[in-house]
Amino acid sequence: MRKITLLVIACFSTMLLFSCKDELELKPFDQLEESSALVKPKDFTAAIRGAYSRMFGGENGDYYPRKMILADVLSDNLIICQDGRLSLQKMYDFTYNANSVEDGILFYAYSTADRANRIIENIDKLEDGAFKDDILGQAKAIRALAHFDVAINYAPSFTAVNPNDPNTGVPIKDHTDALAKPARATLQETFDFIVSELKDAASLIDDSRANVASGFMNKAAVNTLLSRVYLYMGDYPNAKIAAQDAVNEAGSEDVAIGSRAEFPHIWTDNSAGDAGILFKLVVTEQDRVRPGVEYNQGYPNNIRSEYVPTFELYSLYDSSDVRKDAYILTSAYSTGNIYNNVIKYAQRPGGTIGVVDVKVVRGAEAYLNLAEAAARTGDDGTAITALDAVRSRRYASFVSPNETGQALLDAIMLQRRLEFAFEGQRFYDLKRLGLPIVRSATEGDRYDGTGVPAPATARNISANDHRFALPIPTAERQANPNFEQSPGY
Amino acid sequence: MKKNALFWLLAVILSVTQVLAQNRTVSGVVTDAETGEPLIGVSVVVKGTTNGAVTDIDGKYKISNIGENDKILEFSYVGYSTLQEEITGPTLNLKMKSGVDLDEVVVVGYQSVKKSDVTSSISEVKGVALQNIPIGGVDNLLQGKAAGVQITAMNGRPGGNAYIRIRGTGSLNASSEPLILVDGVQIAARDYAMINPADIQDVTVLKDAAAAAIYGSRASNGVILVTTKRGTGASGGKNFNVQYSYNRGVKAKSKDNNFRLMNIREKIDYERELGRGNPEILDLDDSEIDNFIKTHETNWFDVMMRKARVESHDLSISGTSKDFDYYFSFGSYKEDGLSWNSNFDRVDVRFNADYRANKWLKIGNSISIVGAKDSEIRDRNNVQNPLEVPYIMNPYETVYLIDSLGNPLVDADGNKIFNPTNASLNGYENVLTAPNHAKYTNIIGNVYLQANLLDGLQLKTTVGLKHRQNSRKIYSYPGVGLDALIGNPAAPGRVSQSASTNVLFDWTNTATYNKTFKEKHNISLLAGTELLRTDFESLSASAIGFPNKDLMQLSVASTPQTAGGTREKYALFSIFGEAKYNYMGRYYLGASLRRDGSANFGPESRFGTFWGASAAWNIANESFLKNVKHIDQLKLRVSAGTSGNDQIGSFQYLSTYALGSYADLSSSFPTSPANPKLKWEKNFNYNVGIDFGFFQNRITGTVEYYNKKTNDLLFPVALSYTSGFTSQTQNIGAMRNQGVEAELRIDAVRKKDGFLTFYGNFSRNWNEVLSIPTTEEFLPTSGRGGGYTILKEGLEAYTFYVNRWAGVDASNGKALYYDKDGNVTDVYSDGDQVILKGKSPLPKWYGGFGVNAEYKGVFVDADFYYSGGNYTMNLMAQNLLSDGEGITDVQRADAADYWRNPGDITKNPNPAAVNFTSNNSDRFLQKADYLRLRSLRVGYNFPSSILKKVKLSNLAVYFQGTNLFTVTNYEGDPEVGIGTGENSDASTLINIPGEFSLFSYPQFRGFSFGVNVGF
Repeated sequence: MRKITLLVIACFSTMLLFSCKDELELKPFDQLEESSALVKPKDFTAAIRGAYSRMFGGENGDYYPRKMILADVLSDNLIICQDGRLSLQKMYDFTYNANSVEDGILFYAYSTADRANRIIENIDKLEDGAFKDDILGQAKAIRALAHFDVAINYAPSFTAVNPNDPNTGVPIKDHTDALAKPARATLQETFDFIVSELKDAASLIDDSRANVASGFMNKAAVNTLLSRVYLYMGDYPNAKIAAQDAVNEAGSEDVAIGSRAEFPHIWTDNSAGDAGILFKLVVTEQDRVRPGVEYNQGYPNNIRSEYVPTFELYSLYDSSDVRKDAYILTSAYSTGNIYNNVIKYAQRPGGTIGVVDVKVVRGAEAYLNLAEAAARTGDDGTAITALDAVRSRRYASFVSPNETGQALLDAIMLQRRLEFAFEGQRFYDLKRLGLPIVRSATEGDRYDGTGVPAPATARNISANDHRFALPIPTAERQANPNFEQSPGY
Repeated sequence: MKKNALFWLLAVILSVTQVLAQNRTVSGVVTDAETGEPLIGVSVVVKGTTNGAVTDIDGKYKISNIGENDKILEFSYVGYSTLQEEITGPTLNLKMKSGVDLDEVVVVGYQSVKKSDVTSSISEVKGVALQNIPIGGVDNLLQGKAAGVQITAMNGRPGGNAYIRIRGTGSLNASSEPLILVDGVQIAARDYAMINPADIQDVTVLKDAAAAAIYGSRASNGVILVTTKRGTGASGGKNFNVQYSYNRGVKAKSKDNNFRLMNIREKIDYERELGRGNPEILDLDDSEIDNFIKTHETNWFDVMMRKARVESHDLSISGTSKDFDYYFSFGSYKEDGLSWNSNFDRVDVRFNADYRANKWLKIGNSISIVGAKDSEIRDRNNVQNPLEVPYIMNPYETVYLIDSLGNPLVDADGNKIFNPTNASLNGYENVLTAPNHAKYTNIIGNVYLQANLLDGLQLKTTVGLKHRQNSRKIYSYPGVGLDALIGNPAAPGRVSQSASTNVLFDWTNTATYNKTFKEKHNISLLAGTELLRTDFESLSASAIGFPNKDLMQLSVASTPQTAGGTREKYALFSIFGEAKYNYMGRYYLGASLRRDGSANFGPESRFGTFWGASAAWNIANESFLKNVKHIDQLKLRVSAGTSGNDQIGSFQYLSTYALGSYADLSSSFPTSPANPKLKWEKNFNYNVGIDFGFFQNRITGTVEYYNKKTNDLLFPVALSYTSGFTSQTQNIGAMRNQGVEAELRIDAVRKKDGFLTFYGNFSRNWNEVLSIPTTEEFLPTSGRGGGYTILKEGLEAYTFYVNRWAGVDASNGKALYYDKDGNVTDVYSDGDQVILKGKSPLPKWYGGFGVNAEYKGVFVDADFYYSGGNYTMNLMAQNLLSDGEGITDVQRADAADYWRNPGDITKNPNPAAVNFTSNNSDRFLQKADYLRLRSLRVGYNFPSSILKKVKLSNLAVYFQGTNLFTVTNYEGDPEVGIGTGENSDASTLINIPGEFSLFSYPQFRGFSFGVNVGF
């Protein structure tokens, strides 16, 4: 009896002392450890894709899908639809403050940059060569675009401040220290960084790997972006050079700009060989990102718009302009009210409502940037050629009026507005040129200009009003007090 | 290896079964000391063994095979004092006294101890107090039942959970929830509603470190031990019990609110006066209004709400015999929520058994198998939340589109056409066409083997399991509602289906040794190991393209959309020990130690060691008090100890990349900013308490002081947006909770015909952040999405940090605010937020009280809960008094009380003067104090004289009211758990219960009828 008892106790003691250390050695089942995530060339390609996919801004489309409407909401291109859900109303009314401002672009742009930074910090794991260059070029282009998006939203424009004054730019995040609390750089430093990154990218990117369908940037896209950046800086000679490079790289005019016949297909993602597009974010049906839902729901039977074109803009589209029907569909909502609805992002044939690729850079922009930069540097000849390359592919039986001087510049700016309406450009164009935002006091939201006009307090935003630079969200200022609040909030 | 060891042990134990010698037999009769009637079902056990018997219908028992060295028999019976009697011969008759049972055992840690020997801070809640209430989850049922235990329902969703905070918010990270063990098996919040309250024997709450330290790392927020019923104890013999209750909820109505929404005319006037609102209103001619009202008036509460219903049945059979005790139960619980497509159904069976294989070996189990179904509504802050719809829809918005005469329009198939309303989606159509159904199967239980060896040495090995199978389908019916708005017209309808398996395995081994030396020195030792493993696996898929709503299986779909699946494991390995000593039941000392290793930390900081120590002086047992009348209990306790917390989610110490896709090709991206320095959150706490019982224990109670300091707080520190991440989990500083608790029970009347008992508890907690290592003024509690609260040294956790409201400018109707320095301004700016010292969502005091009375079979039970000292940002009020910002939605009637003319003194600014915008400020920060009548029950226990004729052992009927009234100044329901289900998304760092209220699920309010029959 005693022996057996002792045996049992001994047995039990060994169990008590049994070490289960091995049980605690767990590894994630669905994730890679960072050390093994960026090793082989294919890892880097996957990481570049991971950076591009961040530009969706999560399931709510808080970055590019939102930007595609926000820059038009904050302008004279769109008017809030009274039959809509009144989304983004505080932005439209210019009543946003640090607690209520849209913060998706700020967060996701830096998050995108962070993904690019991680690739760049590990780039030397790749062997020198064209592949490494291309990956580095992609990563640099991505973080440049992300910084540009932050700067044009959250910093004043070059026309509003001295770009060398402290805290006029935005924080430059070119490293992966997650605990850093960077302060704003000057506006000049911010843009110098963007320009230098884009220039590097333009020389590094290998166009044989970066095709539009894969959702990567090619050289033409990077140079178009560079020209956009220079235009924003008011550096027209350099804008012209970059835009000319882009035009040269973008292929034939029909491919770059999209012929009149091909143009409507750009918006349903079935233009031949992605004609007209230099860089798009590829949105699949599985991504659950719906760029078009920002504009309206219920396409095509019962379209309910959040925002519709201002009557002023709508009236600028000539009936011979292919863009009119490609962008706008006039239809009644179930309340009986008729609206001009933006259908630029309606859907792909047979696809889910609102799911289309986000066209970030189009060939037409290379031409219109070239036209504007040339016109502003007195080169009307280059300007009219570039302008007409676009106009002749938009209007039926187009005959050039051959404008010169101010008339030419006006024509370029008009085409810019018509071409890139609802494409996330208008607010930044007004901002960079130091122009006010002027909304009609009489024209309303309905198809014929009747309906409710913009509220009186949101009709005139004077040039360089402080609201041209969005406030830094309170949450960010609490987490990073070094990020100085935009003036006036 | 481990499994082999277990089998080996089993084999060894079984092989010695025949060896042990047995001989003597003792028998006797047990009777009530006062009435002399035989007591049926008294448990009689040979002390220190599992050998025992139960008295039969005549109060007789007989125990054989009593070992030579066994000298004491233990008699225990519910409601009676447990007695220990020395065996002096073959017969032992006994008279037992009813009354407060000091020698009743309570489960504390890995073993049970006599109540009088408890030296740590615990609260016990009897299962009876949790039964027959139309609430599905044990967490919600504990509200107000124990001092120091604060329960806040997350919301009133059927089968919904509650936040449980023991002695304040102990941690800042997502898990401030205590460890909950059901018969030793750890359950998660999701499982609370899977436990049938009718099966609960009692609940013990371990509040101080001395009690909880034995659970080490999991115990930093306290421990709740749920013990289910077994064959012994309840009443012994055979017992067949049936309970039925039916509860009819009150349909939620607008007038239930302590504020009023605008009626149709008020809302029309409001919009037209301001010249802003819905076009259909602004376009109306004055002459059309009366007819418009007549054809359009709609009560959205009537449309969206239904009468809630709870129906429950419980049946149990329990019994005990010489070597076998069993408890079997079957229960069904069916709750239909206030909203359509909101239900919770549960069916469960339980079988708990104990088998005394021989004199020293006992084997047994407790197993429950639970099947549940649950239909959840979308708890969003928009029209997809059916409970918010009545607070969005205007009374002039019709459910269906109507013609000018008010008749509904019909489509080609003759179906009424839903009005898309100003929200673009008809809330009623949505709740009917986008249901969300889930099914669960849970197996929770354990199997144990216990050997009583030598003198007082007991070995026990227990294998526990929790297996949870879960499947959920979220529908969007083809071509209607949301699908028509954002679906794919070529492939209408959508199903998202997910399934998961979650297995928790727990293997605990303990050795205990209890011995009394020289009849004075009592020693109790415990050593043990525990291995806990969890393994979670899930898969999900979605597809679109369905012919109709009745054929919505994934295989029917025309177009697959997504496929997903993941796996996650967790492990914890612990070694623990405990030693206790007492001298003659007067002086107590105890100590415990536990070492835990957690897979949530890196190899360097993986292991943590936790200890507890306690001492007590049972003054009532001193000779100088023995003869003092009116003092029955008096015990002074002190304790101290540490515990830890590792509940932060897996692999936060490790930098990882997740894999996804872009343009249909694989992509990779970083998941979170790793913190390799992560380590255990540790807390140190101490406790002083006194337990008392006076006047034959007519007045009993406990008063305690506690002080709990948490160091190395695990907290998701908000990162700058520039990092690309929302937060990083860090160990950040220290926080203290200290407080006093009191529990008091007064048996005012104790007569043969009836009784009258008052009970109550009170808790007061002071929370203070002691240190926050930040170079900034404070630490925000929210990342993207913004929050209202901060953490700052010297202040309560989650102190509000908002702009301050200064009223309305009587001269121009503008909104006024205080700037940072306290000057009044009409400019609302970032940077004018101030810390509102003393205002936080953490309740400062709370508790429950009530009365139980019975006279000649008629009984009345009333149960109140109160809580207060906290503030909640009332976003419901802000939405409904939005100064025109939400003018297209319904508003509160007092929104019309806005400034119109110079000199007007009004509550609300002029909407036009503030640009129709409403800003966040303390204007809507409201005190959330309240008192609620949780339950009022009136019933009748039929007398045994009648019952005997119909051969029943008991029969009771009752009527009950639940949540009958609430006293509060808060505009809305002051019991705010989650503001809305949406706030648990990634943009919020942590859930701070009660930080703000939105339109979450209201509490069940209703009336019940119940029957309880015993055979």
